[in-house]
Amino acid sequence: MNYKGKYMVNRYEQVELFSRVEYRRRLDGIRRVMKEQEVDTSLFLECGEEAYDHWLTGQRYLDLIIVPAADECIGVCMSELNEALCDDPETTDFGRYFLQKKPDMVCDGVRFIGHAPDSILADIIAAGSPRKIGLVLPVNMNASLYDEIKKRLPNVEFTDISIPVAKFRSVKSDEEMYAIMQSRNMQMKVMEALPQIFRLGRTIGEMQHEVSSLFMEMGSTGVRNGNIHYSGPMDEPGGPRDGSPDHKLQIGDRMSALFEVPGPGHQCIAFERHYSIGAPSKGYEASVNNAIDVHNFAVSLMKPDSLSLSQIADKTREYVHSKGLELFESRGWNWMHSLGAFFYDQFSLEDYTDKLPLIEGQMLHCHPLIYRYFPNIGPDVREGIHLVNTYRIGPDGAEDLIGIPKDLVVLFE
Amino acid sequence: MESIKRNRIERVIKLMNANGLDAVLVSNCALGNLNTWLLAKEDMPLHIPFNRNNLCLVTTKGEVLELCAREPHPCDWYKYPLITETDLTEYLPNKRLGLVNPTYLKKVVRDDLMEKYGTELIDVSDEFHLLKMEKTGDEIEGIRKAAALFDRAFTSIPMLLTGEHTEREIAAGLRNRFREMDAECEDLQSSTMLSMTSAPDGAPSEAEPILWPGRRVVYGDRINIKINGYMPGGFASAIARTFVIGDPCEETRKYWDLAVSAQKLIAENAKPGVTVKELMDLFREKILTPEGLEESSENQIYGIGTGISEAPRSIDSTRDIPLADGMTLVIAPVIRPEGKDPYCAGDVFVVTKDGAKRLNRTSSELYVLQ
Repeated sequence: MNYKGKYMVNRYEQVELFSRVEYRRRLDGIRRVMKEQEVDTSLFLECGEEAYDHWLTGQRYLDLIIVPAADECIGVCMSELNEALCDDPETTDFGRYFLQKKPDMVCDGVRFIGHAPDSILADIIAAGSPRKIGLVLPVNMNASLYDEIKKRLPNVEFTDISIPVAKFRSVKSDEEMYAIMQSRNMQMKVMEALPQIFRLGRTIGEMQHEVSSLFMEMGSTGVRNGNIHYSGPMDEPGGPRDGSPDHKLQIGDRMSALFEVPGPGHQCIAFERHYSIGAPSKGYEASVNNAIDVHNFAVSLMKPDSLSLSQIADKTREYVHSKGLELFESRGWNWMHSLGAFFYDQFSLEDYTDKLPLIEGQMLHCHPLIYRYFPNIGPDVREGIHLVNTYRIGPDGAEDLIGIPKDLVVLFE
Repeated sequence: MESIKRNRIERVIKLMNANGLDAVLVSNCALGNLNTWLLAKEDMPLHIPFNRNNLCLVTTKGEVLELCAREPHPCDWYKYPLITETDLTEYLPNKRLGLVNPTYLKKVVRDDLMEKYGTELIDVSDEFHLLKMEKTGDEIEGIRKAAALFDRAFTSIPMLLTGEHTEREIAAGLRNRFREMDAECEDLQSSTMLSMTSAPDGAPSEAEPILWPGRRVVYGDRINIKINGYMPGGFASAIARTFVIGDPCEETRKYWDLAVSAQKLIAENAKPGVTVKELMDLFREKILTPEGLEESSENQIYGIGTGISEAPRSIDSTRDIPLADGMTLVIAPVIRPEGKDPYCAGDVFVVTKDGAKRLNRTSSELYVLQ
C-alpha cells in the first residue's frame, strides 16, 4: 500500500486518502440537496453517529455540523473530552482537548469551533436568517438548541432531509471506491493469513488478539467491528460470539471470520467466511450452503431502479420459507445496509431509506441470517448463520467487491 | 463495587431530597461516563459516539433505570427501553424532575415528559458534578488500581520507541499494549487517548501535516507521550513522560527537571481549601515567569474518576472550587519553551491535608533510552 504524497491525519492516526476536491464534491452535493429541498441551512445532528462528521469534514468527534447555503460550514467539536464550554466561536484552542486535535488540513469552506452554549450556536444558525432549516437525523435535536433557534427565528420551518442526503451519500465516488478497496485489501491480507493463524491448541482469545493487533498494525483506526469467532462444535449450537476466549482450537470446531474494520483512509467494507476445523459434518456444511444460497438469492435482486430494500427482504423471506428454512428478523437487526465512512451507513433495511429503490453506484452489504436447527438436541434448539459480502450496485445488478469464493473453507482435513 | 454504588446513589438521593425532586434524569451519560458512575460498572465505557443515547433515571428509592433517548441505532451495543415508551408515572408523583446535562436532553424526550407527566424540569447539573468530586476510600482505591495498570502498561513503551518505527506504528503498538491490559474497546482512539510528538532532541517537531507514513523515530530523538484513558474497573487514568533515545542535551535535562519541579510544587500545595486557580497562579509565579515561559492553554490540573476530565478543571470556572480531602486530580503542568515541543510530567494524585499524594508509581526521571 503506497500512499506517497498523502498526508497523515493528526500525525499518526490515519492517512488522508481524500482530496480537497472530493470533500468539496460532498459539500456541493449536500448544497444541491438543500436547494432541491428548498432549505437555507442544514444541521447534521449527532453527526458522529453515522460518521457524517469525518465524511463531510475529514474531522472526527464532531457534535454538530451547520451547513448554510453559501457561507462557510461550522463543525462543532464534541464536548465530552473538554467539558468546558467555549464562549468564543471565532477561535478554537484545540490544546484544551484530549482527543480532538487541530485539523491538519482544513477542509475548504469548513471551520471548526469548540462546543459552545446553545445560545451561541443558535446565533450562528440564525445569522443568515434562514426560513427553512433542513435536519439530518432530526430525532437527535436537543431541546435547548431547538428553543434557542426558535427564539431567534420564531417562524422558521424545520424539515427532515435525511433521506435525500443519505441517497446522495450512498452513491460512492471513484475516490471513495479507491479508499474502500484499500480497506478490502488490508482485511484480505489478514483473511489470507487465517490458515496460519488458526493453529490447533491456540486459544480463541489469543487468535482474536492477534487478528485485532494485525488490523491496527496495518493502519486500521476508528470503530473496529469484527474479528474471528468461535462458532462452536460441529453439531452443537455455539454460545455467545465472544464467550469462549479460553477455548483451544481443535478438530471438530467451527470458526467464522467477520471483518468490517476501517482501513487506511478510514473507510469500511465487510465480509465473512466460515471455516471448518477438520472435515465438516453434513449438517454444518448444509447450513453454510443454505446461508450462501439465501445470500445469493437476495443479491440477485439488488438491481438499480428496481426493488427497494424492504421488497428484497420480502422476497427473500418468501424464498427462505419455500426452502423450508427460517429467516431471522427483529427490530433493530438489519441485514442489508450501506457502509463506507462507517460500517453502518444509510441506505439500510428497517430504517428511513428502506422503501427506496436501489441506485447505481451504491455500495451495500448483504447478510440474511437463517436458522440452523439441531433436532438431535431438541426441537427448538437453533442458531443463526449468515455470510457477509459487499457489493457495488452496477447497471446490471450487484458487483462483488470482495472477489473470493463464498464456500466453506476446510482446514486440517 | 456494591459499596461504591450504594454510596454514590445515597449522594444522589441526598441531592434529590435537598431539592425536593422525585427523580433525576441524566442525559448524555457519555459526559463523564455517568452511567458507569451511577451503576458502578467495571467494564470499559462504550466508545464515542455510541454512548450518547444513554439516559439514566435515578429514583428516590435508589433505583437506576437505563433508558434510551431515541430508538437505538442498529449499531448500538445496548438496546435499552425507549424513555418515551416507558411509563414513568410512579417515579414522578410530585412532577419535579432534576436534570443533569440538560443541554443534551432531546426535544422528543422533553416534549414527551411535559405532555405525559407535566413535569417541572430543574437543572441540577452543577450540584451533581460537585457531589462526584469527592471520592470515598473505595473509589480512591479503584483509581489507584487504574493508575497501577497504567504504570504497568507504560513499562512497555521504551521497547516500542526503539527500533526505528514510525509514530503511527508506535501509537498502534502502544494502544495494543493497553489492549493487552484489557483496555479493549471498539474504538481505541477514544479509550486510549494518546498525544505524542517526536523530534531530534533540542529541535522542534516537524510542522504538520506530515507526509505518509509519518515521522520515523530514530536515535537522537526526544519523544513526549501523554496518555489519558480508561482501564477496566470503572476508572480512568493518565500519565505523561518524556523519552530521549541517546544522550539528552542540557536543555532537555533542564526543562524536564523544571516540569517535574512544577508538578511537585503544585502537588505540595494542593491541600483542602486551595483552588485550582490558585495552584495555576503559583505555577505561573514560581516556575513559568522566572524562566520567561508562557502559560499553555491546555488543561493541566483536572479531576479524574469515571471520566478522564472532571471538575475541578484549570480551563473553566470550576477552577474556583476549593479542593477537598479525597479529590483525585491529574496534575500535568506544561513547560513549553518557545519554538520547542512541550515537556509534561503528568500523574494522578489524591488530595490530602498534607498536599496531594501521587497514585502512579512510574518514575519521574527523564527516560534515557540506549
